[in-house]
Amino acid sequence: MASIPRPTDEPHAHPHDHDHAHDGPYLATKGGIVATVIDWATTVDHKKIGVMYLFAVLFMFFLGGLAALAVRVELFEPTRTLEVYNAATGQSTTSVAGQVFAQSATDVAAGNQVYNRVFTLHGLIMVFLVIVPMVPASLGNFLLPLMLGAKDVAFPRLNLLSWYIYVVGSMFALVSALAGGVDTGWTFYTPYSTTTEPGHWKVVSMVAAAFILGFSSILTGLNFVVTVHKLRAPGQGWFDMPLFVWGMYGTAIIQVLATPVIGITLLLLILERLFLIGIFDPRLSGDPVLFQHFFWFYSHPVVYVMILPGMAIISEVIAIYSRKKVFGYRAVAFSSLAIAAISFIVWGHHLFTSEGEVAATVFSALTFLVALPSAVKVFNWIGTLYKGSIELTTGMWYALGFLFLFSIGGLTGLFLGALSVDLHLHDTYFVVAHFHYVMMGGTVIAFMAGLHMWWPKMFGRMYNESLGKLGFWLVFVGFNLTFFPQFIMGVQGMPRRYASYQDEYLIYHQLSTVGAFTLLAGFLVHLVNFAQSLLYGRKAPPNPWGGLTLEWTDADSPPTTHNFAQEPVITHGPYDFDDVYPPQAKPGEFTLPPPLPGRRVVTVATPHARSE
Amino acid sequence: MAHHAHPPHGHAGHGIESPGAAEAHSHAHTVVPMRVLVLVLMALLGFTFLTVLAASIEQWVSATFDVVIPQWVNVAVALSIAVVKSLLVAAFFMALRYDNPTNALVAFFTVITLAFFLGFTMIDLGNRDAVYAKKAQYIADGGTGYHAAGTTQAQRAREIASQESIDLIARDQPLPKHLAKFCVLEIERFHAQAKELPEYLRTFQARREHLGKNYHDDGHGAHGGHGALARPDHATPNAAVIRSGLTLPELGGKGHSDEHHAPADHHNPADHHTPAPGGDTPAQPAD
Amino acid sequence: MSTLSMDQPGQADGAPAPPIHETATHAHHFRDRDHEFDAAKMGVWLFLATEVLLFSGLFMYYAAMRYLHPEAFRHGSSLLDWRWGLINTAVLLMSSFTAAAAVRDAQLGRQGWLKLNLLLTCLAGLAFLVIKFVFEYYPKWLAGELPGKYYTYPNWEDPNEVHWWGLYWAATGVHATHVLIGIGLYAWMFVRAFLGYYGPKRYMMVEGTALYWHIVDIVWIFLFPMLYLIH
Repeated sequence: MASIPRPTDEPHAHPHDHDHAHDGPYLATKGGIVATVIDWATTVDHKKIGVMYLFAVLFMFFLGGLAALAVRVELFEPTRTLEVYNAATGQSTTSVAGQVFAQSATDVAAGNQVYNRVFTLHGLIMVFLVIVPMVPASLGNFLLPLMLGAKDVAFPRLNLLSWYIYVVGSMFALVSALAGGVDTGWTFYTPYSTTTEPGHWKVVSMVAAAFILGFSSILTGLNFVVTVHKLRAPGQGWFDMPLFVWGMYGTAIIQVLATPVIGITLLLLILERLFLIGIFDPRLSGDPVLFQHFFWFYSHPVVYVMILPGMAIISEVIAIYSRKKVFGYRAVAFSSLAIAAISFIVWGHHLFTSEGEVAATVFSALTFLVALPSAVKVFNWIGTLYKGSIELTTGMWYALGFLFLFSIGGLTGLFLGALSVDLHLHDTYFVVAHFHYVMMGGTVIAFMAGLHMWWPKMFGRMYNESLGKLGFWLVFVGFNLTFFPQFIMGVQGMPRRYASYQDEYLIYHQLSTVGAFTLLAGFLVHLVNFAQSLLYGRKAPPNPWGGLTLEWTDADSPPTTHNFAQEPVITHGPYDFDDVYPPQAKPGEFTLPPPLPGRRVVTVATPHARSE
Repeated sequence: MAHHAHPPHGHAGHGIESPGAAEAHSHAHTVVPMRVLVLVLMALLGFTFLTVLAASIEQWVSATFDVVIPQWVNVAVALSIAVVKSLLVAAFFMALRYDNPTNALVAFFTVITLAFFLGFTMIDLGNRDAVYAKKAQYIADGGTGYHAAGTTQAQRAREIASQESIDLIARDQPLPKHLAKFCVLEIERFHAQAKELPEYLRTFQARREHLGKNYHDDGHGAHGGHGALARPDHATPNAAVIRSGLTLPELGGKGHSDEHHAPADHHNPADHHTPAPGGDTPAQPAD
Repeated sequence: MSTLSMDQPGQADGAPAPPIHETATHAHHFRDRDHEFDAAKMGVWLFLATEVLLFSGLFMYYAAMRYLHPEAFRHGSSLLDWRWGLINTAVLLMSSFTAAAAVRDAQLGRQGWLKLNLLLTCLAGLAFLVIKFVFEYYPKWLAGELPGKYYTYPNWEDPNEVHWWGLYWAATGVHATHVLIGIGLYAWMFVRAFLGYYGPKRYMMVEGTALYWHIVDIVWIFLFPMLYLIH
């Protein structure tokens, strides 16, 4: 793993370094390679930590994606046991077709076992190592202090510690995976996690990985809550904060309050496995449903740790590329907190088929509450788009894709939240498709939107817009091709977590596998685009999109080590596109639409414009 | 005792609140008066004795007047006092009463989250009858599963204990308290089933009668006495068994002979109280 | 008031260097020390929130297991000697008092009392653990009153009593680990107090550790009746 990403080797020779000669771009190298590596490894700069997280998460995303592709390849054809009759000898031999994980020609069970490990690995990596830290720890770390006009997060050393904890946790997971992987499913349900391969350290190592990663998540969340509370710029009230910050704030609260429960859950699980205590394992007269309560009390709120940052990004992206004040700012802001609050009382809908009917009924009723703030957000984004001056950049395409995909993901969630319907759909591909539409169609797509929009800010380089759009369309089409068929076969009864299926599902599985490779192609296009941008991209102006939040108006691209030349003072709201008009850094690079007619327009200087 | 918020030292002045930043965090540096701290400590110690007293009184009432006090009374009293104590600690020792209200808010939402977790999970646990009716057979009582068929960890504990007792008695060494008590209880269990005592228990009994009743046997419990809280009716194990709703064979009117009771009893909870197979007792029939 | 400014060490040439707590600076992203103190304290409170919710899992474990195996817990609880629990509760409460007093001493700059109270808190924590290990853990270890597969105590009345001991060791073990960490922190602070680290302008660590210590105390305030008194 590229533990010390060095996106650019040559120092950025920006013409506007003169006002703070000692305060160069944060990406500037420190002499030789060793010095630079040490500098990055010991940095407490939130921007560098954000970038390190970004690269670590993208690497893990790549690994998790490989596991997903392996799953899809296995499912391209159902496993068939063939009897071949040899006319010459008059004997028939048995062989297996359609199973890529087969260890021997006829051992279906062993191949299925490998399949179990691969999809477990995919789930574990994607949930614990990718989606949870994906936005908060990378973009959030980078942008939160910038948006608040702060020089850093509240506890910079804890921030670095959180990254190292993430790396250590990843090591535990990878070592376990290299030792053969576990087949507990990513949820570690008992008795799978207590009985499979008794005495082997692999499961303990994997559980310990999730346990350790929890601390990383807690530290990030704790840092963000305090930063938002204590480090806002002078004049920046709660309702002057960008909506990205509100989303991060809601996320951080969940991280702080929910993650400790998974900590103690996994600790008890480890103790149970080591000492056979009997908490969750029915054979030890524990209660397996109790584990599901413990686990989902964390993991359901964490679903919102995954999606809230995505929503936070979309609020920014849509506002900037529509050049319009966000419709219903307070509604969007409070809906973030509402989602955070509701997330703690709906976990039981993951247990509909295992808990008692009283709890199931209560949780089903509560689950529908989630629809309210989510819908508030979607409607307000659409309201923001309405009559906006829409600029269809890659970021905006991704944001529009998010609206489409997240709506599908959210609305299918209503089916699953309804107790009676869920009893039919439970553990089918409908569930798989639903959470991929939310997790991937929501979070990953939003992350791509944000990554494209803030890429020039993070690395000081523009990316190629055409390649970006090509990548978007490949990802968008590939995503729908992969997961929409899964809705259909889920309704028809295809259960999840099986390495084979009946022939009636063949067409859906094959479409899905083709879609998965289309997705891969899309992400490879983005990879090429980003690599090309880092190496040969045009230098980015401080405010290429004409944003009004502090990271655009008051910080350089890339920002300097101390972020701002002087502490920013808030003079306008984050979305006052009607009244405030940032000058373009270099005319012709990116044409801002003219301000709406009849508006009082104030010009805000960007650092670049100031210095020239 | 009478120290107050204003520090006497010149170099500090009132300066615990530094200039220029007073508006947002004027609460952060309150010095809690010593009088308050001492009073809170006294109250905490008082409540601690109160909670022990309440538990003792409840046991005493229950035993003396032979009434059944529902367990929730015990739980409610003990936990209410604990809540009051922790509120005292949070308000004064942790200075939440004087502190920036944001911190109190953090504490408040923590407790709310805790309540959600405990409350909703208990809603489920308290209404699980239908689930257990279907699935109870998968939950192995007493932690079976990882031992030989049908052996619980509890039965294994008795097997180990009888083996250890046999060894120690054979080597003429004193038994530790919990083993001595085990042997006493074993003798009673054997008598209850009208079975002949195995050799090691006869030896133990003889030695015990010779040395007096206090031969490493505190009568109850593994350790020193249990003070006021030891249940008075616990003096004999059989009484406790009756209280717990389980029945010994002769109390339940079952036959005394081995061949009759063992197979019939196999799925009865009382099975757990049948003697562990000692050195020379026949092992339980397995099926 | 102006003596508080860090830019004025307030010392004549040749005078001995002022103690560390007098010359403390703040990190560059805070406006001043008060700002930093405030943020750090909120961070500690959020950390305490995570601690409480960590223990919430143990409380849930207790509630569920007592609900599922009431008789086992009834008898298991009677095997604990409440008097040791009572003594340990008193020890922890008094250590909480000295922890709060240490914060007060640091705020008032009373170095001698500060050192004494830090030491007393540390010793009380040690006393708690010594009582716990010598009078509770060790005899239970000998009698086989251990969790899971190590359970060999023969005189059970309910075969599920093994769950009681699983809970007892998990809950008190996690709590004792926290006490141990607290003892370490207080010992560390006791040493640093001699180096002049803590004073009216610099006592975040004293206060933060005290807050942690109080949470450990509060957890025990609940564990004591739950384990020893509810029967």
